[in-house]
Amino acid sequence: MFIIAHLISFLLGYFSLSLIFKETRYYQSLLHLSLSIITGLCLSAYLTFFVFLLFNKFYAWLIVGLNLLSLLGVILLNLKTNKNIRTLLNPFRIHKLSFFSYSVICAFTLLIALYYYVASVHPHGEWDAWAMWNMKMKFLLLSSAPLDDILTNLSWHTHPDYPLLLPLINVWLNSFSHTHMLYVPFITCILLTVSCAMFMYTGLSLFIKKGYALLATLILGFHPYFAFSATQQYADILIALFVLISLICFYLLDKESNPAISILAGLNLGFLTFAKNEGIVFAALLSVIFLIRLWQQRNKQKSNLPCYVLFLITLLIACLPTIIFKLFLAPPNSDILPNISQTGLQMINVNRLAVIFDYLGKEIIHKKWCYIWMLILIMVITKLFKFLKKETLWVTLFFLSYFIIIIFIYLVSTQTRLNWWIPYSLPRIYFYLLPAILFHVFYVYWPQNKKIENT
Amino acid sequence: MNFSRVKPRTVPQFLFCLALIVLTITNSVVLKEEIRRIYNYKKILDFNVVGYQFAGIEAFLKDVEYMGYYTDKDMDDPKNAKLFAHAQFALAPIVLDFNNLNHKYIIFACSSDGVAHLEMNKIKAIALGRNQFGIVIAQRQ
Repeated sequence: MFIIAHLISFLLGYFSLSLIFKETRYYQSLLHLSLSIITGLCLSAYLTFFVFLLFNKFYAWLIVGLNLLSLLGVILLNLKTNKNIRTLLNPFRIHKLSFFSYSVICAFTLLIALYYYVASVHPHGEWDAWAMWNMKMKFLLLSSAPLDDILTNLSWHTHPDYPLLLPLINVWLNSFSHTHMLYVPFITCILLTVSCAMFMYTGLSLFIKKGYALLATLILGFHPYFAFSATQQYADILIALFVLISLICFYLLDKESNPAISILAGLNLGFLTFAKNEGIVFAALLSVIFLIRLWQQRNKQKSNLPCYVLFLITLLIACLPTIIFKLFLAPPNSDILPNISQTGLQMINVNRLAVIFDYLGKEIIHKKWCYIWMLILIMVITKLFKFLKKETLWVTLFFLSYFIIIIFIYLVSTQTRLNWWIPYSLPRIYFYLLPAILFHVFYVYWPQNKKIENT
Repeated sequence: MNFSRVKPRTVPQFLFCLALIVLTITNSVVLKEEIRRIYNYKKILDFNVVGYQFAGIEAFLKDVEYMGYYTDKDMDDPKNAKLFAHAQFALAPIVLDFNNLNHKYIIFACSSDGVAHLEMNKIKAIALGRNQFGIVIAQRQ
C-alpha cells in the first residue's frame, strides 16, 4: 500500500519540477525523472510536517488529502502553462534504446538487487536508525503528542535538536498502512541509495562521456562499504544525495545561467537543511559559492529576476520548516555549541591537531574503503592544476572548507569524547562526502563534452 | 555490433586505468571472503529483531505514556546503552525515563534478580512479570 504514497510523491515531484523546467531543454531529461521522486518525497514530508505543526498528531487522512490536493494543484498549473499534455508526458516515452542504454539498465538492476541484499543483512538499520530516526518515526505515528515527546521528553541520546526530514518521509509513506511500519524505512533507504547512484550517472553524463559517467557510478554503486553505510537507514544518505544534486546544479549554472536551475538549487539546499544539522553547515557553504558564482554571471542572465534573487527566494521558502523547527521547537544543540562555550579555544593545540590528522589519514587507508580514497587521491594529484582552475576552484574550496570546519569541531571537543567520537563519526563523514567528491573528481579529470548532453 | 576500441590517451588516464584494475582485482578477492562471512552469519541468525528482550512487555502497558527504566549496569558500556536504546525503540511511543523510579510502571534491567528485588522493595513495587532475559516489569503500589 505504501507504493501508492511513492507514486503520489513521484507525480507531485514530477509536475512540480515540470513547472520549474518548462522553459529549459533539460525538461525531457532522465535527470528530471530522477529528481522527481526525491523532490516529491521531500515535498510530501514538508506537508506532513505542517500537519504535525498544526495538530501535533498523526492524521493519515489529512496528510494524504493535503498531498492529493497539492498534486491536483500542480497538475492544473501545469496544464495552464503547458497547453500540450504530450509535452508533459515526454520523459515517459520509450525511445529506441542503444546497447549502452541496455548496459546501464542492467547495471542499475544489479545495483537494486545488491542494495536489497545488503539492506536485508541489517533490516532494522544500525544504531542510530533504531535509536533515533526510526524511533522518532514510531513516535510521530503512534504518540498522542509526538512533537512534545520527541523534542522534550525523550533522552538527550536521541538528539532532539536534529531535524526530522527522514522520519517525516517514512511517516508519509506509512500514511496508507501501519502494518508495514518497519518495512517502510527499509525500502526508503534502498530507494535513496539507488537514487544516489542514479544521480551520479545522470549528473556526470551531462558533462562527460556516458562511459566515464557509468564507470564512476559502478565504482560508487558497487562499493561494499558505501552500500552498507547507505542502507543503515540513517539520514546520512540524504546528505550525500543533496550535496551531490547541489554540485550538479552548480556545474549546470556554471555553464549557463538558468533560472530553473537556480530555483532547483535553492529548493535542494532547503531540503538539505532539514535533513540533519550537518546539512545546515553544507547549505551555508554551498549557498556562498552559489551566490558568488551567480553574482559573477549576473550580466549574462536573460530572466526578469536575477538568478541569485530566484535562488535566495527559493532557498528561504525551502528552509522554512528548518527555520520553524530550529527557532521555535528544537532544543539547542548539546554536542558542539556547549563544547565551544565551555572550552573556548584552550583545546586548540598542535598535539590534538596531530591526533586528528592521524585519524583522518588512517581512515583514508582503512581496508573497508577498498582504497577508493587512494584512487581519488591519484586522480587529484595527476591533474592537480585542473582542480584549481577558475570553474572548479569553488567546489574544491567548498570541500576544503568543510574539512576545516570538521577539524575545528574535533579540536574543541573534550579529550575523552575525541577518542571515541572521531572513530565513530569520521567514517560517516567520509561516506556522505564520497559521492560528491567522486563526482567532482570525475568531472574535472575526464574531458568534458562540448555542450551539455541531454540524457 | 561494433565496439570502438577505447584506449587511455594520456598518461594520467593510463595511470587511472591501471590503478582501477589493480584495486578491482584486490577488492574482488576481499569481497568474496566478506560475502562468504555474511552468508555463514545469516545461516545462523537470519537477522536480529531489535528489542526482542522486551517483547511481550507491552501487554502490561495499555494506555501508558511514561514509565521508568532502572538498571545498575554501567551505561558507558555500549552493550548496556544499546539495551536501553532497544527498549525505547521496542516500546515506543511509551517514553522511558532512565533510572527514574517515580513512575507507576518500571522496567528493571539489572545485573541480577537480587538487585532488582532490592530496588523494588525500596519503592514497594510488585513484579508483574519476568522474561527469560532477566527483564522484570514492576508496578508501584
